[in-house]
This record gives sequence, C-alpha cells and structure tokens, in this order.
Amino acid sequence: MKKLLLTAGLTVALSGTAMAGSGPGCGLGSMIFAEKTGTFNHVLASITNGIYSNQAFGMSTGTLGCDSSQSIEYTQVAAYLDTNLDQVAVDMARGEGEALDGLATLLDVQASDRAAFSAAAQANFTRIFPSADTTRETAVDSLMAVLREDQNLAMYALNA
Amino acid sequence: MKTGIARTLGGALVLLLASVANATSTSFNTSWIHWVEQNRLYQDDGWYKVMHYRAISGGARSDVEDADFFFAPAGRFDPVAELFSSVRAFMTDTPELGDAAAQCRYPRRFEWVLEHFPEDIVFPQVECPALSAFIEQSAPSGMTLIYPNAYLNNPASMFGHTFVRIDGQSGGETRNALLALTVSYGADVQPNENGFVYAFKGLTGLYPGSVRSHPYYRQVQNYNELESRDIWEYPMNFSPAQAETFIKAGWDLKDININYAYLLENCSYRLLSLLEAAFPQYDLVDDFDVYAVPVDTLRTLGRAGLLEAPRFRPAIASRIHFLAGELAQAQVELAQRLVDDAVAPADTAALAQLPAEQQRLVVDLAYEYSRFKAKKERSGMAEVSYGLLRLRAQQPAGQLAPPPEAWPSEPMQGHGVRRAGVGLGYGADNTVHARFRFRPAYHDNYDRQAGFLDNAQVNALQAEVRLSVDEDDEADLALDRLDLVDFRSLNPYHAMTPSLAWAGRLGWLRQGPQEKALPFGADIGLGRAVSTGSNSLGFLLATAEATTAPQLLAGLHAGWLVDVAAHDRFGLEARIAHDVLAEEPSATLTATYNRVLSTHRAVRFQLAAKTQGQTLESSATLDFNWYF
Repeated sequence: MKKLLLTAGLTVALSGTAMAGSGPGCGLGSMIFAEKTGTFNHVLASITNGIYSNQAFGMSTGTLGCDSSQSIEYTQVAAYLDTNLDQVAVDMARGEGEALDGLATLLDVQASDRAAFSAAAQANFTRIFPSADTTRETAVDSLMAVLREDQNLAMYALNA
Repeated sequence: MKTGIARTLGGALVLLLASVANATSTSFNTSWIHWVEQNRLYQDDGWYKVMHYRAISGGARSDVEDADFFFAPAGRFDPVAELFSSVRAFMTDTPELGDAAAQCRYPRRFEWVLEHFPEDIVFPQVECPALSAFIEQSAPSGMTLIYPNAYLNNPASMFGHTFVRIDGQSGGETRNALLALTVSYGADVQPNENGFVYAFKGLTGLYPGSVRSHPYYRQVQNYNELESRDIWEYPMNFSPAQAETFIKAGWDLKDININYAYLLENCSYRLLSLLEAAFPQYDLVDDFDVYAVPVDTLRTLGRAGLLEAPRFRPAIASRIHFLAGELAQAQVELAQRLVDDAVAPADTAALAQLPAEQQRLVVDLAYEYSRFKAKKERSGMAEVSYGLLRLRAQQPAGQLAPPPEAWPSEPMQGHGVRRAGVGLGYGADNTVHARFRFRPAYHDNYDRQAGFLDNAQVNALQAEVRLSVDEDDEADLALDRLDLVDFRSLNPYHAMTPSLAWAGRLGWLRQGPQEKALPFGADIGLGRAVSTGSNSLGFLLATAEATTAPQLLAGLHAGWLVDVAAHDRFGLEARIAHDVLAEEPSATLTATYNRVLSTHRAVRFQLAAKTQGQTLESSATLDFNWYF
C-alpha cells in the first residue's frame, strides 16, 4: 500500500524538476523555520486565487530535487517535510498533532503505535532538532535513529 | 507534448477511417454512427456538461478555449462533430499509445461515452499508467469542498476561494487529510507580476488559467500559515467511485488552458462546471451568468444537498486570538515577553511559577506569536521559536484547538452577497424622496456580520438612485452615488497580530440633492481600530480625499460600532475635513442603526448632519434591504 502512495507525483518530479547541485539523495532540504514567503511579488502570486505558478496536475513533490538513489518512501517524507518542517517540529514538541500524524502515515506507522511514535518524537525533540538551523535531512536521520533504538518502532525506520 | 501526439495520431486515424469509409474491418463504425444519430447523443445534456458547452444563440460554445481540448477542428462550437471525432479517437486508440491514447487523455469524456453507448459497441482496451497511478495515489474515499476565507488585503482574494480535496483512504480508514490531493482551478500568475497587472488582467479575462493538483498540506501551509486565512472544510456527499469520476473530469482539463476572468470565469464558476462534468445529473452553473463569488459556490452546492456541516481549520492569527482568550491577561503578556525578549531567563523563571497546564498554553501561545511575528520581523525569530519548542517539549503532550462552540459562523450562514434596497429619504430641501439602492457585492460594516470576515467591508459597484418630484410635479430620477469600490477594514488592534485600520473608496457621489454635478472622487483613510468591549469597537482614521468638484480634503474620521442584540448593529461616525482648495472646513455626524429581520432581510435607519461654512444640513433615510 505504502509503496504506491504518491508515486505519480514522484514520477513527474523525477523526470521534470531535478534541482541542480542539490547533492546526493534529496539534499539537505529546508530548515525548520525556513523562509517561505520570499519577495512581495512572490507572496502575491501565491495568495491569489491561482496559487503557485504554472504547475501540472499531479505534482505532489513540488520543487523537490531528489535523485534516483533515494527510495520512494524517503522522497515522500522529504517532500512532505520540505513544506511542513515547522508544523511537524511543533507537533513533535507538543507530542501530538495532525502534521505529525501525517508523517506517521507516510512512515506507515500502525494506528496502535502512533501514540508511542508521538511520545518518542517529543521525548527526543532536541535530538531530532538540535538547533534552529536543523535541516530536513538532519531531522529525518535523527528521527530514524530514534526509531531504530525503540524496539517497537524500529520497524518503521527508513533505511538510510 | 503527449497531447499533441495523441491529437496528431487521432486526427490522422480519423482521416484514414473517413477515406476508407466502410471498406475495412471496422464494420461496426457505421452502426455506432447510426446509433448516435438515432439517439441524438450529441444533444444530451451530459455531453454538453462533459465538454463544458453552453447554449448560445444559434448553437453552442465550450467554455474551454484551448483547441487541444477538441478532436474536431471546430469542436469548440460544434458538439455534433466533436462527439463523432472524439468517439472515433477512442475507437482507434491502441494499447501502445499508453498515456497518450485519447481514452487516457480525456478519461471522463471516454467514461461518459462508455456509459451511453450500447454494450455491443466495443472500444479498444488501453491502459493509462499515469492516470491509474494518480488515482491510486489519491486512494479516493470521498470529497471535501475547501473554502479558505476571504482575505481583504489582496484584491484577488477578497471573496474567498474554493477548491476540492480528494480524501484518501488506507486500510479502509480515512487517511490523514493533509496528505490528500486537491483539485483546484486558478490563474497562472507569474511570480514577478505585480498587483496592478494582476487586477487588470484578472478583470479583463486576459489570464490563462488551469486545473491543477497539489497536496492539501501545501494548501494548508499557504492559507492557514502564510496568509493567515481560516479554512472551512465541507464534506461532500459523494462516494469513492464518484470521487474517482471527479478526478477524471479534472484530468480531462490537465494542461488545458482555460481563461481566468475574475468576475465570472473564476475558481467558483469553473469548479461548479467541473463538478457538472463529473456529475451531469446536477445543474450547478445555471445560477450564474454575470458573476460568481466563492460563497455562491457553497450555496449552490448546499441547495443541491451536496454539503455536510463543515469543520473549521483556524489560521495562525485565529489560533493566537483563541489561545489568548483562554489565558489571563498577565499570562498573555508573559507569552508576549517570552517572544519579544527572546526567551529571557527572567521570563522562563516566571513561566516556571505557573501551574503546569497554564505553562503549556503560555508556551503554545508564545510559539504561535513568534511565527506570526516572523512574517514581518525575521531576524532572530527562528532562535526564539526554537527556544520555545525546546521548552514545550519538556511539558505534557497535548494541543488545545478551538472547540466548535468557539468557531465563527460558517460562510453559508451569512446574508446573500447581493443587496437591493428601497427606502425613503428626507433631505435638506425639506422634501421626501424615494430611493433605490443596489449592490452586486458584497458586505458592509453594518450588514449582519455572521458568516463574513470580521469588520471587513467590501462594497463593489454600489449604486444609489433618488426618485423625487420637483416643483412642476414632474418625477425626477437621479443617480446620487456609484461606488466602483468601497473598502474598509476595521480589525481591532491586537498586540500579537498588529494591524492597521484602513478605508478606501473610489466612485461618484453627489454632494447634496440640489447639486447638479456628480463628481468623481477618491478617498483613503489610515489609522487604528480598538476593541472597546466584547461587542464594540472604535476607530480613528486620518483621511485624504480628492474629487473632480474640485475638492482636495484632509481630515479625520472617527467612529464607534456596537453590536446590539444578536445581529443588529449601531454606529456613530464623525468626519471633519478641511478643503484645501476652498479654504473651507466641514463636519459630518452620522448615526446608523441596522435592524436585522432575518438572514436575508434588514431595515436600516440613518440620521446625518453636516455643517459646511454657515450652513447646517440634516437628512434621514430609512431603507429596507433584501440580500440574495
């Protein structure tokens, strides 16, 4: 089930918008409190009824530039977090929330393990986000390390 | 690109078929043509809807202008030829074409044709990998209509927005909503285009527009967080299979250019048109022929019985106001200090003195405030937000969201956006006259407030006509006022979400009943509004006005608005101005009472007094207003 999730968007992203110079994998990604507004005109473009600029139907990974060395799961998580890292961070600090649940869904965490997943994220918040400049890549790596150390959650860790 | 190939191939095959007529093995061709003729399938309402055709005098025309959407050369104006050409394209598809096959390119059109053709007419079997992957990715379980609230500070978003979320499922349960895909229609705005260009192109229909899909988490980030617009989510009464059909209807318009015009051919209208293409049993766009605003989309769908009670997703500013309301003033101030003083030890020490539950809320409020503040003041705010999250992670798990009782009235509870009024006026000339008023859109500061953005006035093309009888007993009809736009934003100042109060008007206004001239003027005001209690506010604006009278005025505009009873509103407004050209001061005092009779009916009483030079003029009006 999980493997098929979001694949169409992935296909489009892989063939179309690979980001130059982003390094191996999906690059560092955004920082927790990344700039999301940009210039005034860019804000205007995004807040008009026509959100964002010319983008095709079926895009779900935005401008993410992952290369083909990454698994589909990792790419999905990276795309999700690059839009949402601050929302996921605050949910982790609060130990619950919809954005964190979305991440758990992408990691295929079973309903019965969601509470433990959230609790582990909250307990290890400063490890997952060691600074205000934490990148998505660091946060994902640390989260996976946290999951791997937990007997019940290790199965949900993505392979690095 | 793929479209082009499909069309070229399709076109070539159609020609080929036409030239060899019935000579080949496609002997069923003639039978389906006969069948279509016999049943006049091309006149079917469903065909019109699937192809976005509208009846026009002497024929039909599709709302879709892009030639790529049609197989017949004049397909946009010819439903008959287009049906034959489309069916031929579907018939001549081959599996090798894959995603470029006509069946894959226009899956909703093909589905409709399949549903309407007899079973003994068979089409080639073609796999559509891209479409199948997209549907699988969506894993549709149903649909939700999404309504981001109006946003007064941008002309393109003054009336809100609508799009559809395709809710997903996994393992038989509804999937996390943030991961759902959305289908929306919008203008293809270039990132470097400025607001005036946008407004001009939008109003004149010069924008290319398109149907597109984004994950819902991006939409939420955009509306709730970046623009701070509340979102209403209305579950729709559609099955998983119907949601799949809707995806196909959207797919038909993938990469197709559809002009975007701000007044009618906007997101609201196109979305209804798309819903009709998916579900021809509903007549949804008939209501609109001049203009549509997003809340009309909601009403139309509500009338069709397609919407359920909505869920509220508060924007960042709404969450701040809610959390601030849950805490004592001293705690709100502590939350603000935590941010403004960058999580200083003195403040964290004060925080530690509070009961655990309140500590949590104070930090949550401070965090939201830090993110709101970061929109304007970026330096150092990331460190502050991060410091607050570190604090928060040590506190008990949990979140406090506004309960349904604390939600504002949902947009459909609001009055109709069109307003027509008849009334009587008593003026300085000591005569009574009749008056007629019409406002095509949208809402003012005295109208029933429920369902609209708080304290936001948006009047467009408001007209006022006076009917009086002159000395010769002759009826005299005069236009007294025509506003192109008349905006006012009077949000009470909140320390955590500071905002200016402002007003702007552009239009023609007669100065008095005896005046012959109808000068055109522009009027702006800038200042601050403050809350003067739970149900009242005061405001003070510095104003500047220029008219073709000619006048050049500078002045002040003060007012106090109070909610009386459930929906009635009383207001007192005073303006003083100095005319720089005539060297003459003037002052106006107006009292207004709007008595709401029902959601769509109200009576408004207004008294005004004006002094200018040595004269004092007073007037009174009484209007009965219908909203529809």
